[in-house]
Amino acid sequence: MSTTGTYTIADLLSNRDAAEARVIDYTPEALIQPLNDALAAHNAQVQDMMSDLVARTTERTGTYGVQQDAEMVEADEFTRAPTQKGQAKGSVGWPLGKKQFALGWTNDYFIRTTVKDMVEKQILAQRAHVNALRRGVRDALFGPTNYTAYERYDVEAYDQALSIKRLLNADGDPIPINRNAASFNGATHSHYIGTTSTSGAGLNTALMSLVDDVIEHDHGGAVRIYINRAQEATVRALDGFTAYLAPGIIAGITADRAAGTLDTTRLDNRAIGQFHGAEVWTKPWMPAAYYFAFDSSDSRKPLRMREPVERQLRGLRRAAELNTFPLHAQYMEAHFGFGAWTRTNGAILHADAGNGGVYVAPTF
Amino acid sequence: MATIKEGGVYKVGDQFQNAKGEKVSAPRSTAGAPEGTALPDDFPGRAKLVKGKITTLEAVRAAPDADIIALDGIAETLLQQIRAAQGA
Repeated sequence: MSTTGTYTIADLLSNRDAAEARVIDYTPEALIQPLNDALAAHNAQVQDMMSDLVARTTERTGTYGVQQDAEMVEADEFTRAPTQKGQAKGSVGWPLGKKQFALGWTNDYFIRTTVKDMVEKQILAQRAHVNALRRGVRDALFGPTNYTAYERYDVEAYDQALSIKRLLNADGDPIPINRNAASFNGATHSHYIGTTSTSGAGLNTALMSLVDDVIEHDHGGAVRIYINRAQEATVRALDGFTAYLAPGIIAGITADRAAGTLDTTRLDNRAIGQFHGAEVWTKPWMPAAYYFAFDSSDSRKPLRMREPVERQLRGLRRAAELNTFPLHAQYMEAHFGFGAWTRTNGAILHADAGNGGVYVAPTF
Repeated sequence: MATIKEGGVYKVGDQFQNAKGEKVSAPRSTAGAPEGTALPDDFPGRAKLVKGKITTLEAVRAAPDADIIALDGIAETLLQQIRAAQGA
């Protein structure tokens, strides 16, 4: 009985004869399907990778930070209490830009190119897409100052100014009161914090404060702290840290241990233990000397990624010169942009002896 | 002790900027240990008190309730815990 399955890029590459065959000798239909399937899988995978931090949207702007606090008035038989109004609102915007990856071939090249060459080009484009998304997330998270972007892709709102905000950064926007009716001063309350303590008790205190910064805004479901692997040894040495053990290790009967297992198959993308109730993860995209805390279980994500309204323009796509001949494409493109959404769900600590206690924006 | 600076001022490249990206002067610093008994690590609301520049037990005892409640993130329940922990 013949085997069944779906043809993928892996099949093209593994079949040496087919891989070395020229694209021009095949009908487009025979090649485009596995390429498109691989693109769809790639797009689904990158969305899943970002899903703990980023929600998707097609909106340009949104309201954020409605202050809701009021008092009841002592009244008698004749009192008509005054109407209470003036709920201050903040706003957030999300930019939309376009990134291109040039396939960059001449007609002569296209006539001679092999299936393997074409597949490798797409794999490279997918890699470039991941790099661009990673850079977008990092810029949106770690930059502490708001900025203005101008609408370029929505015809109805062309040239509209969009105010792109960060996590709470003391810009004066109102901050919602928490469920215990505690209020926060939007002009002084910042989630971008600098400390000169890079280890020991000072860093322990600063990290506790970082976790509190997230939880005090009612984001306490599953707080995580993301660190660069360069900080792993420092964090492991903190008094407030309890490590996950590797499989096969049994903790001493009187020793504290965190309820989790260390993933020994990787070093730079794994949970390593608990710090005051927050799970500590190493992440490859975290810059060294920075600590990022947020509630990963909250549906109100720290960031939103804006995509085009048109479904055909979402994700990494082949920008064919003629849609009926999808292989004839000079570029692969992706439309996206990142901005803060739930500004309270995230706080970043920069720990550096030379920063003078001021948060320093990293450069990427 | 870590040097603490006012919130809302950041270093971007070579410039100090506020939250709106406007250039500002370098913030003042408050280095050095304050006089008095430092708040223990497990003191209720410690992080919020320190952020509000109340860093010693003496300062907690001396601060009126209204001043403590005015700090970010402190409401009546936490104030009661603070008063219970501050001692005589």
